[in-house]
Amino acid sequence: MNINQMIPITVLLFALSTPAAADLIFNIDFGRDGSYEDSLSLDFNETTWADIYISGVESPGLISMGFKITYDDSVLEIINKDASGWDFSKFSTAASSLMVSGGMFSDTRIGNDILLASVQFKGITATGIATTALTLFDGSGDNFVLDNKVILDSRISTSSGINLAGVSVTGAPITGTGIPQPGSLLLLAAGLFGFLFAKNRIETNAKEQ
Amino acid sequence: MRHSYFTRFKSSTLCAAAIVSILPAMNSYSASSTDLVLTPTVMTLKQDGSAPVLNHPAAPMNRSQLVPNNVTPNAQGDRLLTVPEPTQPSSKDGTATASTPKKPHYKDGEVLVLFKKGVTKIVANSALGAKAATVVKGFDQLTARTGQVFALVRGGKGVSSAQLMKSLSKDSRVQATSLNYGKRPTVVASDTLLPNDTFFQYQWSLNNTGQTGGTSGADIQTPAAWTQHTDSKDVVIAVVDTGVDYEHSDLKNSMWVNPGEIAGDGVDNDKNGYIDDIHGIDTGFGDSDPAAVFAHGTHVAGIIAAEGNNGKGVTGINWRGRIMALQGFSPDGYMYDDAELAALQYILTMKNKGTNIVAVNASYGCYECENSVMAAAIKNLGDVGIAFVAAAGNEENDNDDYSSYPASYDLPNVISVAATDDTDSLAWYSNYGATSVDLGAPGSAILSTYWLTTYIPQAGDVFFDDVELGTNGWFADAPWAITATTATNHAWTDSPAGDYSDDQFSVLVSPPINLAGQKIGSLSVGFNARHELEEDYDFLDVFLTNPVIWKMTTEQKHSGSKAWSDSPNGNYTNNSLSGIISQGIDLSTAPSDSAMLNFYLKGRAETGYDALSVLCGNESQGFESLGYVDFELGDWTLFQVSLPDTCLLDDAKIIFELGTNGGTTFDGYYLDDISVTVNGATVFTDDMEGANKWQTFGEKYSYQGYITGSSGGAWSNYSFQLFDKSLYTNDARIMFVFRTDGSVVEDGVYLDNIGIGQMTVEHDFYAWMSGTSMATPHVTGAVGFLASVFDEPMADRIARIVTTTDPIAPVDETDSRATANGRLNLAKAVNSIEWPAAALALCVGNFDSDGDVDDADKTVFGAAFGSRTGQARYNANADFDKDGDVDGTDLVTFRADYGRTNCLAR
Repeated sequence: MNINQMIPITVLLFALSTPAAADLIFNIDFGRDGSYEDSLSLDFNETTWADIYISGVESPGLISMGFKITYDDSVLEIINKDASGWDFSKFSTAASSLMVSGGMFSDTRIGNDILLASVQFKGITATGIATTALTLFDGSGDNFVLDNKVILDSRISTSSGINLAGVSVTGAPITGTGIPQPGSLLLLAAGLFGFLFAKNRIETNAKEQ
Repeated sequence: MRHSYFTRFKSSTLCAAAIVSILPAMNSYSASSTDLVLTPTVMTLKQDGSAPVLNHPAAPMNRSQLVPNNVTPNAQGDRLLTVPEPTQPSSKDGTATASTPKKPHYKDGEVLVLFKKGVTKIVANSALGAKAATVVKGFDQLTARTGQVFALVRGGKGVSSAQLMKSLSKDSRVQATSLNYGKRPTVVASDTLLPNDTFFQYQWSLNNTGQTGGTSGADIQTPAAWTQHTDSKDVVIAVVDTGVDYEHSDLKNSMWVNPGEIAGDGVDNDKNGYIDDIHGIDTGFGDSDPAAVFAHGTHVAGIIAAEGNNGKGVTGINWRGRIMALQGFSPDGYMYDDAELAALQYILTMKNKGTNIVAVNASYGCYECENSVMAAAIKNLGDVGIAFVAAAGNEENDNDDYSSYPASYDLPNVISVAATDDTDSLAWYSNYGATSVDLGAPGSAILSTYWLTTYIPQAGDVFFDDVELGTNGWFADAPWAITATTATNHAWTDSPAGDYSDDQFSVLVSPPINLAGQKIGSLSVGFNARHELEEDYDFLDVFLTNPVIWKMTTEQKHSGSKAWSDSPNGNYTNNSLSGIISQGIDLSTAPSDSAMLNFYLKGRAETGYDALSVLCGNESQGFESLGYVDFELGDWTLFQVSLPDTCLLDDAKIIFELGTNGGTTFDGYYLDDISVTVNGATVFTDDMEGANKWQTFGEKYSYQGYITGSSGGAWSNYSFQLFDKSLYTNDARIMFVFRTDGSVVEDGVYLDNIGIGQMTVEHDFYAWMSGTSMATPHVTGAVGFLASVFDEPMADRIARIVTTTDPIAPVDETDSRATANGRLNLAKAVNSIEWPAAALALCVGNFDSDGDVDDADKTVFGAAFGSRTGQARYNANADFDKDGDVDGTDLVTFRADYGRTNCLAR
């Protein structure tokens, strides 16, 4: 092996031996079934808990968190929120967004599957089907901070955010009594005819037997 | 009708009683022109004196005494329970008892194994497979944290723990093997329950003013320490014990709450292997609820961190703290090593998830049960800064000579604690050791929080009998009888004619009780008793029983289509005695040595522990043992047994009975083609194909506890919780077994108001308990206290505690007992801290300028947390780095000061 071959290998080994900061991973568990999901279908007025988790936190552990989650407030409504696993927690709401912050005053949070907050959504699309993305953005200030003052916020994309999941809401079926239109009257008549025909067939067959 | 049938042996010994035909024990076959005819092996029954226990129901070696609930209303309507102070035991002749280590208790057949670093789980499984060892329980999280494979394994059937350990130890990949020892709480006695009020005046161990007649100042000096620090909410102390009553009014605010878990959602939110583990886990019963199963752990937790200065009850060494509860005990009263290991695995897992666990309290132990696997796990805790504080034991022994574990593990994070009394002497029961026991701490008559369940039987319960309707379905073995205790009240008595007899054994069994469908653990058995028994020599044992019925089955047969099975369609039941008894056979004219019992047998039992016994005789003459079988019979085997003269009766009966213990169960035995011959002529035969000639009997016996001694002429209420789910059948029975020894007789026991119903848990009770179990949490609490006060390496903290002690006074000039250091002095330990100059600077988190950074300051910071300039709740004083946000970096600063009490004025 000559020197020209060795240099790239050395560089590669150096690169491999340099500890790389692991990505922070965010997940949602809809409906508290113990599984992470990236999509959900809701009916009109149906509610679900969305538990938001972070993974990939190294020692000495996270002591604070803060993020903003955006959604289409014509599709979903937030009816409850909780971050009681943190010693301090604050929520602030704005149009189509929820700001969450929390801090631990004694322990830290290390590793994977760390519960950040829980948000209860309700589907509010009255008719048709509408979808919305749940997108996570870093909040203002230093939010994801380790006990040794290392700040992890730079590991979160602040421009386009992190797409946590897509939620579709199916509007409620028509419950009012509509006035039949001429076309539908025709269909109704055809249906009645078909029903009567079938009934007649059944009765005829019965007589033949 | 099913009835309880107890085999009564004649006074002659087993060896002298039975004459077993000596026949060649070899397989043979003869050829014919058409096929091979297998002549079965003719076997003999085993006759050695070490036959497995046959005289069920047997009380276990370590009985548990039922504690009376003497509910006596006083003038104020409070309830006062009193039990005598613990006293040093003496032998029956009045001489002092010798201090002798007890035989270690372990689960035979099981072995804990630890593989060397680098051995993967796959390789480990392969190594275990090569030794025919099966993994009973894995400890994957512990393996993940330590890089070593831990496992609880069993060998092949019939392989003892010792054999398996020997086999595994030969594998170079195995670092250590150990028996699966059972540990007991290191408590001597518990007594008085008191009204719910402020009891600090009784807490001599924290502030000894001579209120108990002891030496003023013989305490751990908490008032002086409290001037420095009180609230230790920033540290977590793990209590591995019998669970904690986390709803106790003096503990509920000092419980650790798992921040990663959502209570009651049925999901393992933090993915630690346990669903809804809010305050800890239960490795003894195998669930996520560390609720108390006995009172011991609740008492220990209160010493560490019962809420202080709240105007009621007691105070812990830490006025506030966080207790992580780990219930590790099994219903039999032991905590086995696998359950302890699972608890330590949980602690290590949560530590690695960021929970600030600084100490483990281990108020339990066992003698000569060194376990290198457990030692490795405890060392792992030390490697992450967790002190392991363990009770030295209550056997009056010198641990330098007789080791008690886990206290005797020579590890840097293990602190071994002896018990002292209110005169600053070592308690009479305490173990000691000049090199093996680190220090002493108060352990005698310690008042703390207590878990208590009560059940007072009454009409309308699941079962209730006030003994006013006669026998009412009870089976009463003579001389049990109903007697009038007053003009209007009746009760069962074991001795209606006066005093009971020497060597009495008699049972009283309830009618069937339907417990099916009831919530497991929700029910208790209760009864009222008035008793005069020779203390510790004569007993009333209490059992719950369920039927175990043999059946004729088509699963196996020697001839025809059917055979008897002790356990149709499955394995037999633990802790049971069941069998069949033949109809009467006239052998009265048979000459000596002429009668022969013949039968075919196939199957297996747990060799050395469970056995099928064969007896003959009758109810009036008693039954003689002919021997037993406890080995595997892979094929149908003919047994031929000569019947002794004592069986040559005009109404002789044959019994086959299976007795089992609490270990492994197997399919049991199948029995077919039974006959009795006299000089070769058949006088009784049954191939199980025609009319049934046998009566079945059998019960599973679940031991619950005992009564001994005197109730002082008063009625006492006893109750105990039913944990065993196998008891919740539609045919359960309460059984009282009266046993006496060969000397001293008394009036005996009267039983009334016997019932089964819903228990009530009391969350506001306190009690005195004594033992190194109580001394240990004083030290554990001190570790937590110091960890909250001052951040330093664990080793320095331990050294600070053990080197700042006060002398322990000898009881007299002959008292040579010693510990490595003296009695804990918390104030001295705290005052020994040499604060760095930086620590004495202004506390930036001291918003209210009161000299400390406490919960009031936390409230101020919390209100501002997450805000930025321009917002109403922004607080510039909380924005320590002045970057316009009160965010995570400011929280780092606040955390560094939180808990400080020595702040300079702002």
